[in-house]
Amino acid sequence: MTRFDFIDHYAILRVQRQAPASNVKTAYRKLALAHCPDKNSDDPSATSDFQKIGAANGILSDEAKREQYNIEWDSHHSQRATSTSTKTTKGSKANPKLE
Amino acid sequence: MNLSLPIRSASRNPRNDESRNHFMNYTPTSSTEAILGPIREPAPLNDRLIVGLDFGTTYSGVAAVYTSTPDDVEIIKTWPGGNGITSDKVPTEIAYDFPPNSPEGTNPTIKWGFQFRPEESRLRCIKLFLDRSQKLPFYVSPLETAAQLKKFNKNVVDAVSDYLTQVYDHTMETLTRRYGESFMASTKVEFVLTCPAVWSDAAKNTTLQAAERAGMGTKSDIQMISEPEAAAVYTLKAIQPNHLSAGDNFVVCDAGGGTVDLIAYKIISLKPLRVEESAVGTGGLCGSAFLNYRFEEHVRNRIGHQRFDEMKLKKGKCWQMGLRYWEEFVKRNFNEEEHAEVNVPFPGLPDDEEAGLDCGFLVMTAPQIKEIFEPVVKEVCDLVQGQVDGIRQKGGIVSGIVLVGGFGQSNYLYTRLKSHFNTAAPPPYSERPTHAQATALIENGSVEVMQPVNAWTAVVRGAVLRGLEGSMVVSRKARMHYGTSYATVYDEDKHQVSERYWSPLWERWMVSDRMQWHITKGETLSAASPISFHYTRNFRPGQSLIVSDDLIASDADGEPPASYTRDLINVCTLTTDLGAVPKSLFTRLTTTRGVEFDNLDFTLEMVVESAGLAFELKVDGFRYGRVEAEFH
Repeated sequence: MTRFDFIDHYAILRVQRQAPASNVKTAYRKLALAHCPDKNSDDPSATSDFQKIGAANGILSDEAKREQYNIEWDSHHSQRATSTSTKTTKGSKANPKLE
Repeated sequence: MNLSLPIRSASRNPRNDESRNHFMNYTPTSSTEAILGPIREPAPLNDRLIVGLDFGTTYSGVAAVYTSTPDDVEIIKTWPGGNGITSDKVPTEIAYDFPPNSPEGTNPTIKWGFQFRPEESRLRCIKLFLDRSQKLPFYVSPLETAAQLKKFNKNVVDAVSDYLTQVYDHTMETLTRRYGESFMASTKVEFVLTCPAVWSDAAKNTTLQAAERAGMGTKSDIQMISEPEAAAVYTLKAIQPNHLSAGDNFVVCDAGGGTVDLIAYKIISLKPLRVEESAVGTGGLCGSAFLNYRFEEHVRNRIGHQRFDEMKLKKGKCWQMGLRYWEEFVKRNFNEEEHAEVNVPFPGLPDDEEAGLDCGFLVMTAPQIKEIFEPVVKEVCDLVQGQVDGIRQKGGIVSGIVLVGGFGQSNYLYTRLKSHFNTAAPPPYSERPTHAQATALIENGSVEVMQPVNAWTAVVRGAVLRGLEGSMVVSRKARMHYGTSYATVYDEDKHQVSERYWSPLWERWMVSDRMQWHITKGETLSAASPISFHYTRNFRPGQSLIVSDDLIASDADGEPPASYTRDLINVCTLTTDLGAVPKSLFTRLTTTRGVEFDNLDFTLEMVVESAGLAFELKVDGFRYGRVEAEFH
């Protein structure tokens, strides 16, 4: 899946957006163990997979970084709109309508 | 004698033109013409050659028509390696070989179609490898195919596109011989490709890619039509369907070499002929190639394993002769009433009374032949019955079954289907039909089994007609549920608390991975009315405006799930660049914590065609940029 500059760290750790910190920790440990390059010398992508898992954990396990990242994540995911015809008034401080 | 007569000629003297224009108050172009372009095309430049290609599991066929002589459909019948013997189709078989003593890195040579000696190994049924969800028949070894491909550093798509390249080159050569080089240089050639009704979207896309690589034009120029639909197009044109009326349903059964494909249509109008799909396509791997394997087993058991293997290995021509008689005579013409026994030639095999060998012929009795046919015929009957039942359950009237494809030509299959569906006697005549009678007619009503002439080439002929006339099918049935995933505001009545998360951007409690299903499996779809998905998205300043969303499918027979699960199928990723959307259509907003973002509402539109999906992205009803679909 190509989302260009955007990396879906939740998808990499196979956890949901709402996953509590403890779930992130267990998911990381499980994946890191499975993708450890020492144990997967025959898999050429093991090293880069391991690095991606590490990077995802670095962000999602840090509360402040995760909160910052969540803004980015939210801006890369489509929301279902109730209707396309009604536009909110420009400059409104309120968030647009969502179903 | 050379007379100089005053003829009005087209070639003009520029000085005459000048003076005439001056006196006639000539203006170079009218304003309407300048805006709308030339009012009339100078000459009909749009005559094209339409080439239909039926890329089958066991055999492939090519037909061509020139648009200004639409009744003149030509089937290519001569093939390389065919030794002057004509055939409506060519085997879908290809093999690679390295020339002897060739240095490393040499491209392998290709043999295809009829270019093989009987004992040479080759790749068979490569088409079935294009769709990972398709089962392979037992006689095709995936390991052997993989080993052969690996040896020549090829994959399945390479093999398919190499095969299609051979077919393309031969087609162009044949057409050039027929129409001449200058005609071919100035005439556009359009390809219409067929694919099974049950093909996945990804498999259709792969097939198109292979055709594109073979030189048949760009992916968007190549038309695709499902095989049973092509067969239906041809059949309805070929047999004047007098007994069919608007509202009736008919089932098309395309019994080919490897697969049997079914689809049902309801007639919307007879003149012009318009139909819509009335049942979702089904299919099975019970094509007539199985009969050959069952025949082989039969002969092996009759004459003994050792003698059989010896014959196949050392007397290849003897075995080929018997198999050919089976293929061309028994399979097509066998009929219980006419043939109490059939004599299959095996020249050179010594007489053996016990085995039933006499004068180089193997005697096969009608019950023996029926036993070979039975499982395949029964499966075809069951598949057809399944479609008929499905339509009747919904109160529809089935008035015909159209039998096409190689095995569709079979006399025995025709007779069996006929007796299966024509058992009920017509109801007694009465002035006014009673409700009971009407119900009885719907439940047991007889169904006419039709077998058009040229059943074997019906698909490729239909493909050409499609290219010629456009679609006669006004609507289709969705084969799966199609949807997209989205995030939305948490609603305590609909969602679990554990599913929610706080969105710093929307400043709401949200839930993600919700599924919105835009198309329900079995729903009637029309190419004229696209399906729209409405979205809204918040972009951070400077964020890339390239947006991608996954199209997700579910094969569930009941309700598809409300949230994303791992067993859902990721059909493709839809990517579009919103960079061309005017900035004025974005709404600048700020969260309470001062995070700025630009909100945009957009609509994704999907159009369902016979053999594929097309997408468009719109903002406020206008199209901005192309949507690229990358299939998984």
